[in-house]
Amino acid sequence: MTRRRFLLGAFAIGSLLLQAGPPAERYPSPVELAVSKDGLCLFAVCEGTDEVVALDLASGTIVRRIRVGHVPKSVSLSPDGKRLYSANSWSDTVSEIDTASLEVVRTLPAGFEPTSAITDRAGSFVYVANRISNDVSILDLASGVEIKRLLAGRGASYLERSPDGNRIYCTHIYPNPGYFRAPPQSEITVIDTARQIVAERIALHSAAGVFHIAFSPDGGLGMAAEMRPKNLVPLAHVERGGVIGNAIAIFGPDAGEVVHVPIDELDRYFTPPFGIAIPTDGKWAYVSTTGSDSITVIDMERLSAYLRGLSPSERRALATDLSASANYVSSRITVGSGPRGLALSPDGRKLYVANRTGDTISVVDTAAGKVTGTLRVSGPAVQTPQRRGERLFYTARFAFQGHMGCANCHIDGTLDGISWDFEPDGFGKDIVATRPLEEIGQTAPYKWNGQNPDLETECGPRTEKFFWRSESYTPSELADLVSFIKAIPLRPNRYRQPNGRLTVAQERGKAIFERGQRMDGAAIAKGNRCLACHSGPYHTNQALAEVGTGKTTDRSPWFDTPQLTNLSLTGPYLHDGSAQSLEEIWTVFNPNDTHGVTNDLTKDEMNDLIEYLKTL
Amino acid sequence: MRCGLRLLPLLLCADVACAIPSDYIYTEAPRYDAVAVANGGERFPSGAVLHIVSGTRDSVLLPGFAASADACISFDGRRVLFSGKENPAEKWQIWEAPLTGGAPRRVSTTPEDCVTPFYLPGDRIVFACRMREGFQLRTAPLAGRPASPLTYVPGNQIVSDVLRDGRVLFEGSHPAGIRDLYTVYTDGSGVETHRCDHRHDRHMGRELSSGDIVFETGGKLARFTSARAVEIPLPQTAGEFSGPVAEEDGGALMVSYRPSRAAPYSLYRWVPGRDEPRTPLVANAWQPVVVRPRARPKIHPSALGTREGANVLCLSVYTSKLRIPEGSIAQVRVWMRDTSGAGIALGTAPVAEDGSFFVTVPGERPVRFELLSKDGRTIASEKGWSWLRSGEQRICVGCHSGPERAPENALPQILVHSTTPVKMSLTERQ
Repeated sequence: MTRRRFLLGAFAIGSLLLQAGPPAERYPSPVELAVSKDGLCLFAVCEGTDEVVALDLASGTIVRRIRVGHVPKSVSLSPDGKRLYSANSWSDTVSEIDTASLEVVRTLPAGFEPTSAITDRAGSFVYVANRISNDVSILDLASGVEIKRLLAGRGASYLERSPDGNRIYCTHIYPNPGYFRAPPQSEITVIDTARQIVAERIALHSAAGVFHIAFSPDGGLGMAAEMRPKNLVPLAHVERGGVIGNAIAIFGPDAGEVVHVPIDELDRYFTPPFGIAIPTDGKWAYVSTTGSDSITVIDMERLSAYLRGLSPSERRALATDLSASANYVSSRITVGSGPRGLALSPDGRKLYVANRTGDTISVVDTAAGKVTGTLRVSGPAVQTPQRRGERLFYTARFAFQGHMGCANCHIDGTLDGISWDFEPDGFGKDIVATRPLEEIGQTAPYKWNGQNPDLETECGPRTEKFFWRSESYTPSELADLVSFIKAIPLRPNRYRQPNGRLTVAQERGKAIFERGQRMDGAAIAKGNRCLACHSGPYHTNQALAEVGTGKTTDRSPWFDTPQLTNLSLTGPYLHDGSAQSLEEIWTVFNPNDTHGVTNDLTKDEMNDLIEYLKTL
Repeated sequence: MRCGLRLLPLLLCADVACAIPSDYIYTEAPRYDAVAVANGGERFPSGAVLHIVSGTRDSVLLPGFAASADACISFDGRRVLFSGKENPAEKWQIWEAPLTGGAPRRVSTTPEDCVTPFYLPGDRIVFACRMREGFQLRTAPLAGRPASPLTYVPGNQIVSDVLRDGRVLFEGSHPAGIRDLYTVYTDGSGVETHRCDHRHDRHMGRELSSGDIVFETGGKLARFTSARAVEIPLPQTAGEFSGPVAEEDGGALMVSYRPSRAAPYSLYRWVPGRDEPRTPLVANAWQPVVVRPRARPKIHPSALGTREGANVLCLSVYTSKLRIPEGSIAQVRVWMRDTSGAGIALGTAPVAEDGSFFVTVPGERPVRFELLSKDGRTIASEKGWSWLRSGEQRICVGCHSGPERAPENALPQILVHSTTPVKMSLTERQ
């Protein structure tokens, strides 16, 4: 695509749309970027306004706003540069865009919550990572039909093609279900594009929250941005990397055993690592760190030399060495607010950074190592309290030494899929699973022990003292943060039929959920029926309950009744995350029918109950 | 010179950083003995006087004082905190004076010397006060009372700086026989050496705008950076530095320096790496501070609980620079130092197979840990004393593991055995 053609094709229509501005004064929230093959146009996918915004890089102006599906999460270019693909996470579709006309030419179906879509090297198939259905769809571009779906890990989210095109790699924002009180285990799912099968699952030990991948030009080295939580260690202080490590997992033939390379320092943290870009000369790796508003620049030659000089045992210990980054991190570049996706110009001279909560794109001169320009993707001029709160939610600047932010554990407003040991109750006691934050504004009290009557208490002094360990929000900032959290919407429930009716199995499950009698006809005490506690619009009576799930390490067996909305996404289950699946809640942790009566259910009836619960 | 004015050369060096000099305060003294405090001695045995320099005008800051030193500028740049004596026979006390005119106000009212005051956020201050055990750190409201102890080990500690993350940086004795830099939260919890490469005496660290901490060591300047676990020398010069540095806008340092042993220490502006310090600003001068507003450090939200004693969870004794053989440790013994200086063994606790242990130790008392084999032999032993606050819960990654070592994400086996720490306390007999 030449620049002339691009401008002719897009300016006439684009200028009209530009006047119209983004729809309904929403914040665009650019999350991912792609640069046209000729380097003249930048495409920014804006999840807040459901668009792909095309910018002319010569003038820095918006030439077209392309409406795609709901909450788009990715944008990628076909190998020939003629098509763009955007994964629309709430529509469960992929938009195919003609880069000449800048029109959506096709909308393709995908799995549950598609978060990334890229083609194979030939441009014949689109691979789509589905975050909720934990799989990768393969769409045949000739027919527009999904031909295959491959089981990935939990929270399949980001895809990258190897330089030779033979493999597609998928990362996951949640760890796979594992063992209670064991280190989280994530994976990189490796797909053979010739056979379209999962060829390998690269284990990422102790990682939870893995984002983008990039490769060295020869494909010998892969790099995945990852968080490494210390959730098995009591959270008594933040210094010395006490809560989360931010690292790059190095894998591939040149790496041998996976090496986890930290990007933190002794007194400063760079978190969470999200996007990675490596220019074609392979000299540098650029890593966006969303909560730190910065780019970490890694000198690849120094990194390789450093790794070569380490013994195998030293390599294994590297992940916990906060002084290691001095050996390969060459600089940190401050960019806009909430940097996420990265894209390099074809010549590698410019790095573009999508600043999600800043609604801007930073232009970094890679030779100078500094921001030389800022592109706006438009958006409301005024920052609402809710938007200010969103920035506070994602920033790491309040925690001691910038260690972490709310979004480190509540990834994209959800959860991290693991359990933590917080200090106030004593070490090893009251283990708690991270809870999702969607639609929680009306579900007080908060905390698993129900001790916080409102979100102001939950997010205010308690967070300052026991999480951030540093001076935290002003009263107005706290109000902003709470207003944002209360407004985190509930994502669509994929287990409900479009017609609103329940399936037969779900109907049977509903009857079990609402029953007042055991299967043998005996009455179930009113207080032990599901609806006794799980009632109301959020399926919680907002009270404490003692259902026999307490452990010897819990100070009290009484727990806040959790809401059940979008229950299928919120594992692990129970207050401490000891149940790895919904089924385990009753098959393992309800031996005496104290958490509802379930021991009279057959396997099929249990399945029915779960099918119904997934619709809530 | 004490009461007079003197005009100084306005330095317009080639460095842009030096082009617009800031107003600054310094301590004029015939002699400055940086190591005297290690023995509880007098740093300014021949007296000291604070001067303020504004443009080319140099004047005594506090004409009514017999001695003054240790200036610290308030966050808004309008007040100065200092150590002072109204009369030569008095002890050093902490005072505050407005820089815009007005009478100084005495802050501390102890019968002993109080020195090295620094502002803390929240209208509080931290300073060192001579006690029976040596100079100890204290915090107090700016109004003066009541003062709270911050350090609990014998020896002489003096405040070096207040870091922007809210911790107090102080200089204290290290068991290796040297002076080193430590950090502690403003509630007295979390004390530790800032870095564990204990090499030479380190004095008077100051945090720069970059976050680096620059200090004097053996007459040279060195720095700690966030990225490195060891000190990094600043570009070498022929002469010697003394005392703390100050950073001016643009990154130039104001330093006390002498080009040779024959020359007096004088204040210089210096951009490390560009040149030797060249033109002295004023002779016999130390402790420069720039007069300007500055960022207020963060307030540390104390998480001290109400429990008796302090809990210490060590994740693995084998995570150590001491190369302790895996599997060699079976127990940990905790020692407490009594008021006479003698060590009292408080008891032993098991060390789990993975090297973890969990104990409760007395708060606000000097304690140290000793690692024992199964048959009771001492395998490794802390040489110095440290402390924890009552209600503090502390996690140690290892035993002398260094601040660069983050914890492994592993469930400490000792917590699987029991979540109740083994209590280490004095017996009836003791």
